[in-house]
Amino acid sequence: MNTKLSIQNMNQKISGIFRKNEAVSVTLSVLLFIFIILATPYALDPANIDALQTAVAPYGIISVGMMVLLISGVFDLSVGSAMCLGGLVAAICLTIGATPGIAIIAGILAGMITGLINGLIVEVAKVNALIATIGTMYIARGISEIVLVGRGQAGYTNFPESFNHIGRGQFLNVYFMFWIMVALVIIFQLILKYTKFGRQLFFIGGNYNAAKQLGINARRIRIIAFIISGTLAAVAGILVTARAGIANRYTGVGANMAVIIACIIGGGSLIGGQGSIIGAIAGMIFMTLVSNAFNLFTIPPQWQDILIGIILLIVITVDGYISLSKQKKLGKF
Amino acid sequence: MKTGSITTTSSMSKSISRKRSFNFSSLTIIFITFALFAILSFTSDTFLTQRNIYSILYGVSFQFIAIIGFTFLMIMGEIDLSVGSVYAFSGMFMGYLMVRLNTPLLPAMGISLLACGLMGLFTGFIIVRFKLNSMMVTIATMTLIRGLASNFVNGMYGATYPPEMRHLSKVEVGGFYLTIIVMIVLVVVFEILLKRSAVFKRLYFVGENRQTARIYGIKSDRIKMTMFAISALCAAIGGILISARVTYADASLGLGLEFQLLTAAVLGGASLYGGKGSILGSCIGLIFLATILNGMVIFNIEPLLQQLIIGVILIVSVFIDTRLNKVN
Repeated sequence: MNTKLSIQNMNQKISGIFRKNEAVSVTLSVLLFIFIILATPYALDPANIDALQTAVAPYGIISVGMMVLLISGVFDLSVGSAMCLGGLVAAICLTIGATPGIAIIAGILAGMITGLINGLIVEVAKVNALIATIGTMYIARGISEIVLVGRGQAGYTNFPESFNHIGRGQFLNVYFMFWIMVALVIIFQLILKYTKFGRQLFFIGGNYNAAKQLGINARRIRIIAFIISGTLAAVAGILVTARAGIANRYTGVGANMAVIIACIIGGGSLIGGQGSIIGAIAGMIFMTLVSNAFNLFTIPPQWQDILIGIILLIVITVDGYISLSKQKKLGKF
Repeated sequence: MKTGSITTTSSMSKSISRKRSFNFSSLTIIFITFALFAILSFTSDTFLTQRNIYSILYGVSFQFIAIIGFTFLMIMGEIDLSVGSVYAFSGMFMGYLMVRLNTPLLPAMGISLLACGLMGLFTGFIIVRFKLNSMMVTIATMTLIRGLASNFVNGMYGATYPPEMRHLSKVEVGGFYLTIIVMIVLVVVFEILLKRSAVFKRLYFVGENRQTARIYGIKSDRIKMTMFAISALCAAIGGILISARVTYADASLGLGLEFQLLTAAVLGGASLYGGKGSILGSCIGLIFLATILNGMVIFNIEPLLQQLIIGVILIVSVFIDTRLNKVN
């Protein structure tokens, strides 16, 4: 009896930690960062810090939008394509002579439209989010390829310096794109915690039908979430384009999976109703640190996939085990 | 496709389309593919040649083997996103065993298939045991297995596979490639089994409503685990054959295959919510996708448009299917 109680206690403690969705990913990132700093002198090298910032920021920005979607119970596989498209639209506008401001607005608009289309297909046409966003992934990628016809491998280059500055400029020795990411994290974390919209997102993700019956306009809120995700993907695409000075077809390839994996490590779930923005960012930082560590220690990069796969499996399984034992306690199984 | 009284007794059933006496979606894709064939044969001299059709079928036959298990899982309402990685892993592992460790053909193939089967079984086990979302788990195994496969790509240093392995994809029976014959035989066999056999009908029951299936005494967990293993095995067999055809360890092999298979299966009438789908439909779905690509090559259309068209077709077909199910 006693041991049973203590096991229950321990379970509760573990689930207490896990209920703070971001705890796992934050702990993992901090531990890994400390380890890297202790293990190699190159970790705090300015070049490495630069590389870390510019690697985390774009995908981090996308994972903010992805987490908003995951919380509401859907997800978006087209973010990589939207990222590519956003950067390309901005690049084309610049090439035909628009000012950087207009180009950026056009790029963001492209992302918003992608998101809106996703939202309409999923919520109005009622096509499953997986199918719908695979479809728009293909479509947006196809449009990007068509736009690039006759442009060669490099795609669009030679942007005005003022545009490139957005991706390369720094404020207090930190890249603009990193500041943008930090700002977005704070804004969206606050929105999720303290606004009606944020709480409705959780509610919809937890139980779509109940939320609808309570009079929440689930359809509209999810469409907004899709627009947020598409917009942020385009923002990331524009930042990457400005940083590299190139807009080509390779932008954002594999971004969708990387971002979803980061969000799951960060406490999100494809089933919906759980997650936090800080968790998503911590998950992304963790993944970037892993690849950075592999570079610094010159370990072949394929081990990175293996490690991330294993960590992801463990996170999912432990989370599943805890929620299962919780449900068992409630007598559901 | 009649699924008996199980669904009618259950108000919880997600899909109410079972009342139809045949699989409508499967007919749709057959019709569309025929239309596409007709258009292409009328407008082009080169399309309806024996060589061209033969090459389309040969190209499809590798992915077809992988889509068998994938479709079974979709019928049960599960999904396996790791197919692309297993597809790449199996052939590379086998080739690695043969080239670097001088293992003979059959043991190498056996070890590779066993490894893939066990990985599938493991995936199925944790999904069933902890009641996890199969998409999440297979995203993890997809990443993990892709990493393992990349190890073999590096370990091969670009070496080609031994001749006896390369020969596997070129085995001919009666003037036809064996893979094509296997494809046609399996389509017929599974079409009959899924419609008539009690064992296979259970897949539909589980996919439609797991709770009711359990009440009726179907061990859905055990079936599910087996099916994950079978899905991995199918992907592995297809992967070994495609590796034999590609002749070296190509790092991009099977990338995005999971989405291709998903598209083909959904076009062929499968649903993400389970309870629907057939091997014939999935096979025709694959042929349809290959024919579109083929037609574009014939007409010199930018092959890039292919992605756009596939995306549109996918969304439209699922949209129509959703609408039809709602009306019924």
